[in-house]
Amino acid sequence: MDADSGDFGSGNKLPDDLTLDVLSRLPYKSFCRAKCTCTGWLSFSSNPHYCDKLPKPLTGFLYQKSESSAIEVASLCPDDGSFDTSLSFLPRYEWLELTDSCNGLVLCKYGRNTSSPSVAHFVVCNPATRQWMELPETLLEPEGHSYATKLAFDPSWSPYFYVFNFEEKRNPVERWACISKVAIFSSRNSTVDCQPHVLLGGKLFLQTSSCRILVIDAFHNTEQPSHWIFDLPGYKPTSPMVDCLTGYLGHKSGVLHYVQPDTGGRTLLVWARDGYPHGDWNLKHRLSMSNAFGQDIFLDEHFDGFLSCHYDIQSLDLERGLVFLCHFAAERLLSYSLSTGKLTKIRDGLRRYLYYVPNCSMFPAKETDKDQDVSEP
Amino acid sequence: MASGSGAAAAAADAEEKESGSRMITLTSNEGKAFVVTEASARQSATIRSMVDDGGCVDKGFPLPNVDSKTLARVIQYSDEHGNKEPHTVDERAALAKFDRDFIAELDADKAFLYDVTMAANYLHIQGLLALTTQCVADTIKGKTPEEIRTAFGIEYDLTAQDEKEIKEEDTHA
Repeated sequence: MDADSGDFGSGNKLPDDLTLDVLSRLPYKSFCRAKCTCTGWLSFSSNPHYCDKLPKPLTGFLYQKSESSAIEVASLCPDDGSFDTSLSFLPRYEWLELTDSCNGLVLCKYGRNTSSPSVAHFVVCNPATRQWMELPETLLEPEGHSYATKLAFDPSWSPYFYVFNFEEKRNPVERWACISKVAIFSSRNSTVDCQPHVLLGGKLFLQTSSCRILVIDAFHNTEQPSHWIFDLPGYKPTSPMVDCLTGYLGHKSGVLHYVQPDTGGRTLLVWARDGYPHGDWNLKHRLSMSNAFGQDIFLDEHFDGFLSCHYDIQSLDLERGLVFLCHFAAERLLSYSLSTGKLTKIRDGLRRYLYYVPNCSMFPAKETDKDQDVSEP
Repeated sequence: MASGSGAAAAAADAEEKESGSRMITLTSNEGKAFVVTEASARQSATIRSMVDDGGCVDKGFPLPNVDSKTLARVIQYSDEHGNKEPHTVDERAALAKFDRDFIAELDADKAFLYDVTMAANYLHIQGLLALTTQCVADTIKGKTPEEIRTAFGIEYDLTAQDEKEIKEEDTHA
């Protein structure tokens, strides 16, 4: 607005219902700015009566049909065109493999065509701000190892993101691999060196294949990060045959949660942890998948004795009361509402999706005076 | 579809002719009387319910919350929307153009835009209210909180704690 086009005048205060009407018409980004105007406007967000009417951030799922195709977004809300979903602002974007997503940032790996097999090359980008940062190349052991690379970013705790590269040494006798090395990359000083996971209060919680949780703490300072382990709740699969029923880590109001199918897959159990490392898991909800899907049999036994479940958990958004599931036979992404117990189809055609909620904060300026952040727990 | 809406339009026409024959007097808070068609007055849900509840149409309706300048502008809108039912594509386009020009004029005078918004709210004229609140929203769009405070004459009253919470909340959004 030009300065000469006039003001509303200091005495002219819109009543709450009109202010709410005006704010509800804003795109989410403008609303976030506008609510910082005064305490009156700010209080709308925390009032449950008004919350439903106010603009919500776009949420959706990132997916890639094959390693060679473009990364796309399946949106859960009307797209206000505020961000680029094609990632075409990245150099060599056509070679990207979607790897992980965390609180608005996206981790991608450059495909093998662009580098030698013993080198992995990652890039972290923010589709909402079109910023990106390439990670230094990571050397990979050629044989007997597999790698899982996870992105951790929680701007309420730190403006910097962290990338964990877990090297797993495969044991040829047992089926489970064990983590042999963790390389941590930090956007704070831009240097390298290291499964369902969640970043909460500056700690990374990672589900291990032996049904335990590995917690990595203090990885943000230059000292040696610490780590400890505690058990997951519920039943412990006694053999790899039932590890099709793996759960998913999430959080609600800062509390660690774990959602896990029961042994038949007919119910989802929602657990909350009241403290860690000491503390207990408390069962919060039992969600009937039998009612939601209208079926009672969820497990198929294969000729080799392995079981597979008809669905798996793709993501959790417990703040919004949603569990996202993928039904394999239909290749269908579904959201399950804790409040209604109903399933809603999001889209068909794929088995792997990454939950995405845009974040508009910019990357902080790099701190170049810090030393390298190398660690091997 | 075409025949259905045509029949509905014809029915609305008949109703409009019947109710449109009456004239209604609206009086501003300065005592100035405005005589409008009932069809125009019925754009306001407030007046519509008073008329339908058997309010005395002959005596007119005093509007103690609306001044003459604002009422004249509100009537300009409700005349256009109440007296002319758009049937053709061209008529609908003309009405949309009227709305655009109407709001562009108000947009240039924010204090008056505020008065018309308040009157549209008081009189429950949904179409006009949507038009004006969207215009206010467009004013806010792309502004910093400081610029919004200046435009709306709002005093800065956030505490450091509020600002901290905003920052945390945004990141969880």
